[in-house]
Amino acid sequence: MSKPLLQARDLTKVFRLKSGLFAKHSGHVAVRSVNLELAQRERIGVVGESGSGKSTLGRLLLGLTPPTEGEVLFEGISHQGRRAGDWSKFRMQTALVQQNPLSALDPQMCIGEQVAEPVWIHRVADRAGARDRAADMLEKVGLSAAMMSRFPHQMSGGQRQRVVLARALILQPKLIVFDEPVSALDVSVQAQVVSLLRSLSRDLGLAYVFITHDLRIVRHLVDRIAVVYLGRIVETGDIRSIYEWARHPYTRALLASVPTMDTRVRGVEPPIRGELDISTITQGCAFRSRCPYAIDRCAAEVPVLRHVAHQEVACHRAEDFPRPATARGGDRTWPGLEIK
Amino acid sequence: MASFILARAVRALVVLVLTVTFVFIVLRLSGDPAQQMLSDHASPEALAAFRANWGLDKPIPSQYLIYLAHAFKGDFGTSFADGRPVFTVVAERIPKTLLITVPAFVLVMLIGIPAGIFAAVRRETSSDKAIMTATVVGYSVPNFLLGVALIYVFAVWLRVLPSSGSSTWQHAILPVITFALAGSAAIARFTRSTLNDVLGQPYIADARVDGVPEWQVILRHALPNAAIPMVTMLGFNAAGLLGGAVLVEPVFAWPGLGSGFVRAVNTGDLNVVQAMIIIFTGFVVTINLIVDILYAVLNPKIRLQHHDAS
Repeated sequence: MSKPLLQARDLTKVFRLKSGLFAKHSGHVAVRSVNLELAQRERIGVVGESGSGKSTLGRLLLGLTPPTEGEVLFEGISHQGRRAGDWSKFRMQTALVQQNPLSALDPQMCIGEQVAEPVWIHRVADRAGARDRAADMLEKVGLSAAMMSRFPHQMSGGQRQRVVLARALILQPKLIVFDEPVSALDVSVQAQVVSLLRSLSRDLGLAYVFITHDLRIVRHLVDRIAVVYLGRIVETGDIRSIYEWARHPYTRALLASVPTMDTRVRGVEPPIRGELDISTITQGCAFRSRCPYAIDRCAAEVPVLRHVAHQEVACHRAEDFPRPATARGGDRTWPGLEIK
Repeated sequence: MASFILARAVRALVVLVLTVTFVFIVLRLSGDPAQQMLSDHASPEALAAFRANWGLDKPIPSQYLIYLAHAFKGDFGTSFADGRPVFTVVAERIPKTLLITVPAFVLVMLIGIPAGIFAAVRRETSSDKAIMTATVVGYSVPNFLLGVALIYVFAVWLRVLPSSGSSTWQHAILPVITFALAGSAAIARFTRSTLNDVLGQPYIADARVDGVPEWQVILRHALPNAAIPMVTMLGFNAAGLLGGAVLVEPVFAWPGLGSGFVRAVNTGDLNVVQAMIIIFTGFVVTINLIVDILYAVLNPKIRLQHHDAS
């Protein structure tokens, strides 16, 4: 196999919190010892709830914020070792698609100019050539070239996200980080943008990191997923194995909470309670305060990511969870364990 | 766009007429001008003659209509103090005030905006902190006090600049600096915070990810978006210069509108006070009109909305 496109090694990001003039600096660990590898054309989903550090992970991967520890390598070159010229090349080959397309577009600049900007900035073409390319790209994402002279506030949410996509794709990057690209859109528009995303990424041979809280959307968009809880990857593997038999109680709870069409079939897995509890991060398993199956060992020992069947799981009880039952129509029930 | 400007201009005119009315009524309610001019010991005959002479014996509504009719023709009455037409008294002071406020405003922009941009770009560095500390000083010292301090240093101690009067261009230097220091401190702070807000926007992150060099990010994306709130703030600042003239001009014995206004109030020169308030209002209304128009030019949301409508 060829060398990986993107590698994250022991990536940790601590945000320092200033709590007062004389108080000690404390830190919030947004991302903790994350290892990730992405091959050319590979598509990975990073799944977690808000506050799990998934957006910070995306920013670290693109070198928008420096890691506290660890490193990110793109085509074998570390961000830290990258010189100015290499950065420009890296920027040409990567892109970011953010959650809210309205704030991701410059309100003062017309659409055509925004889509064309990366082209002439990187001297791929002159300004006129960049405009032509922008018109072509807008048509590829399903917008007419007549939209070029519009401003972001004159478009609908779905159109704006297509513009953001056009700008991201215009230099045919090798890697895109999608950070919740459709969660700000109406459900009907979501489906359109998702199918556009699928066909474009296939045509362009794109590798991407798809950050989302929504397991439904990610299912048909990625090859692998990594489930993140409080900055740690708790389960990762290819999408099929995880849908077949998720081994981490958090993943199972996320899967069970996906609404199904069949009212008779419900996730049996007890739903997780409460919100992210940052205080549990210092010792033991970070998830234990919300985990119905936590045992004494979970409080004492941090579970490390280890191979279990076809995936990697960070749970002391990974082997205990049974395979879900498949009902008619493909919906699954996720049986829990006896709670002691 | 044209209809937008017209609508704003009509609104400005309405504000002006309302101000004239308000000022007229309030000044008539705040004491008897005849008594103020002639002192408490004046005889009833003298008071009556004074009132008849200046038309103050008529009922207030008809006084108002007469005043308004004359004002539209540029006749603001006669100064009680020296018998000259108010128009002349005020008109000879306007250029004097502009002579110090316009250069001050230019300096505010030339110092405040670049300092603010520099501080925002170098955020959290020692140069940012140095600029911000300097602005706190410039911002918190009252301008008349600053004027006195400047007179002490440059006129009394170093003896390099004149302290009062307006006979040479050197006389303008200290008042201009007094205005410019406080104004540019405020503008520098505002520029920095506005630019910092804009630099935190997702479209700025997007421009950086797409490889737009940092100086182009500032120039092409951040500054145009920061310009809209800054125009508003600069408008406030320009209007504030005129209010400041009332405090600063007397310090330097600068014969502009500000010191003229103070003198007219002290002597109870009703017609001059009235005309000067109208002039001040006229300036502020004009500045607001310019701000509104610039707003529309800078902001595609306003510009295009009115373009679509017309």
